[in-house]
Amino acid sequence: MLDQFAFIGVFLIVALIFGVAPLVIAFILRPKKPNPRKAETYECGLQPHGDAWFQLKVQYYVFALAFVVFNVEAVFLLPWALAYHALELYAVVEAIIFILILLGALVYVWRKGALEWM
Amino acid sequence: MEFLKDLIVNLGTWLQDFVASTGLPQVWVRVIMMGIGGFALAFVPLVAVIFLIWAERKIVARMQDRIGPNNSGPYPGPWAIFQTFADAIKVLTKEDVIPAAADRWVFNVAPVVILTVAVLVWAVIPLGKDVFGADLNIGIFYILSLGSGGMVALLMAGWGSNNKYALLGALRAIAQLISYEIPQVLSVLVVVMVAGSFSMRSIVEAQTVPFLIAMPVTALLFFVASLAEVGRLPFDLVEAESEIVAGYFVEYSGIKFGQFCLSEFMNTLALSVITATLFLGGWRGPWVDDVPILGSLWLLLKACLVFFVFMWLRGTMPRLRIDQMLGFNWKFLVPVALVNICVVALVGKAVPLDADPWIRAGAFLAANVLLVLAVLGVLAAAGRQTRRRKEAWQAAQLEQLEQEASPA
Amino acid sequence: MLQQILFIVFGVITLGAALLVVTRRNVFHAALFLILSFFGVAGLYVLLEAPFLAAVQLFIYIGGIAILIVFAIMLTREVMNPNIAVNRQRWAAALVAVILCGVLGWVVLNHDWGAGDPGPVRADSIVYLGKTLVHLEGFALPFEVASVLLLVALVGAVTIARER
Repeated sequence: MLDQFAFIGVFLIVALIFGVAPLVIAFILRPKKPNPRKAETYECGLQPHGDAWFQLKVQYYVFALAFVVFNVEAVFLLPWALAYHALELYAVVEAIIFILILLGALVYVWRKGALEWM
Repeated sequence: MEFLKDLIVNLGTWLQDFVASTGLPQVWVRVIMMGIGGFALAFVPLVAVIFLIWAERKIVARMQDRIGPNNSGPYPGPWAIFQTFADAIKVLTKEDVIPAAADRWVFNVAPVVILTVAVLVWAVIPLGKDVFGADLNIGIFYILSLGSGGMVALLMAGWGSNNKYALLGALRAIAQLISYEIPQVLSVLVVVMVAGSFSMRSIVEAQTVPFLIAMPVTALLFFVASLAEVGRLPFDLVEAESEIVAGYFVEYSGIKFGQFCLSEFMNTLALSVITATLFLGGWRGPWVDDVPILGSLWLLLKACLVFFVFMWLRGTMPRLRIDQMLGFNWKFLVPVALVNICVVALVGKAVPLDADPWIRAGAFLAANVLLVLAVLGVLAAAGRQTRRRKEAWQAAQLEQLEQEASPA
Repeated sequence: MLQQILFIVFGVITLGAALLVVTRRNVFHAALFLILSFFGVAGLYVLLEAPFLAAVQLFIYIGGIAILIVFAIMLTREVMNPNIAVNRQRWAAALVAVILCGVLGWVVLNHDWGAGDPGPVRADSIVYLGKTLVHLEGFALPFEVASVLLLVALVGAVTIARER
């Protein structure tokens, strides 16, 4: 099993070379004329206004949290799905209960209005 | 002729014998073979992208009732394919403008990471019978995990630009990517359940009946989720040219911008090949047992078909807003994906494992059709309820207006 | 031999990145080094012949929890202008840290961890994991309790959204 990962290791190095090579080629080929006007932050052609931060809406965090919950659920279900062919009916019912609890949680969150973007 | 019948595998064996005959120790032979194989594998998407950019421009143009690029300077007709090379040269020779306030390390590493991740995906995809990089036992899961690498690159790009709009664009892109990863994983789960293995090779070998026929709902879920994962229309809000100033790569110029676009194209290609492998049967097709090289041809045709559907959607559909996109995911795709797992799990246990594959496929198909009808029924009921509530509200408004009008 | 080298490499990545996480002044850089540290741990999982756990590490930790951490960082106000006030309790904190390090080190070095060769890894380890997860004498009850835990997390998300 591990020798397959040896290929992944070698391929990672190849992929890194593929990622860096265009940068190197472009570094050789392109003009270099730095200029303070060019280095300004871009804001639709106007002068940049204020600091480059803003406070994020909490909605982003709620969606990321929901994502982590469902991600963990998917990871719990993956080994079960792999062992599906060798499982009895009760195991399938167990997993269906697992899914239904989380489906209920999703519907709860939906009805409470936490899934609105605004 | 025999050599040609299984061209790629025979080439590989010949090369290995050649390298081994130079007398190097076994380990070095293997490493060199892996290196050569890795380079060849990484060139496949690169070469394909050159053709596909041209194909996309022509096809989307035809859908929009125009011709698209049909010359490259003085050479008319199919020489327009060289426009891709012109694009590449333009992007390589443009000046690299880095904003003064940007975070140099993070800014420069982001395009490298995103292109590396886009290339790494190709390690586990079977490009033909016995033609693959590595047959990992976590095949499809490896591909899904690499999506997180792309998210990190996005984050670095958005933050490293030190630009409000870039950061906002990057965070919205990440919100879209993480939301649509759930139905993608849940539909892959169903495929893994029926095929019994993560390894892409085993999934292809388990498809005596293509999974598209057996599980159309799952295929549709994966397809739509992949559309959003790659960021193509109708989900391309994050790079929408008319919206937040080109999103997270607004401060990038030259080759770094080129790398972002290239990685998006390579991801689209990778996802169309993965869809073809998971749902259309990969390299399976007529006469593959006798002439294994035909397997690669079948895979190419199937991937082109899926890519054509991607382009078709791009030429036809309008763009969704971020709240519509997220609502569609969390309120429709995720519940349908979860219910789909339950249904397929129950049906899979109801039909015995050693039955004829076509009967099993038929049972799954029937269950999927029932699921579609049930979902449509739920949607219709919800639509009716909304309409009734709206009519009641309108009637109440009308009454109120009449009441206000009558004393006057 | 190669495994030793790879173990050292991944160990250095993990610990080095973890060290950089706690010493960086810029919170976002700290988050990026945390992601690198997670990647190192995934490499260690691969060396332990648990590729499924390595992919889970990438999938959940980097793809979920690191993103969550970054969003939480963005929710605070002073992320872009880090003017970090000097902590006045630095010396007391250093003393407590050294004492804790000493206690933990003594425990680790004096305990008999029962290290031995755990035997070869099963060829179908993920399938075995799946079977044990739902087996009635396996982890069926923790499996269902985990789903209730995830439900609690989602209810918590509702509470966060409601505050605004």
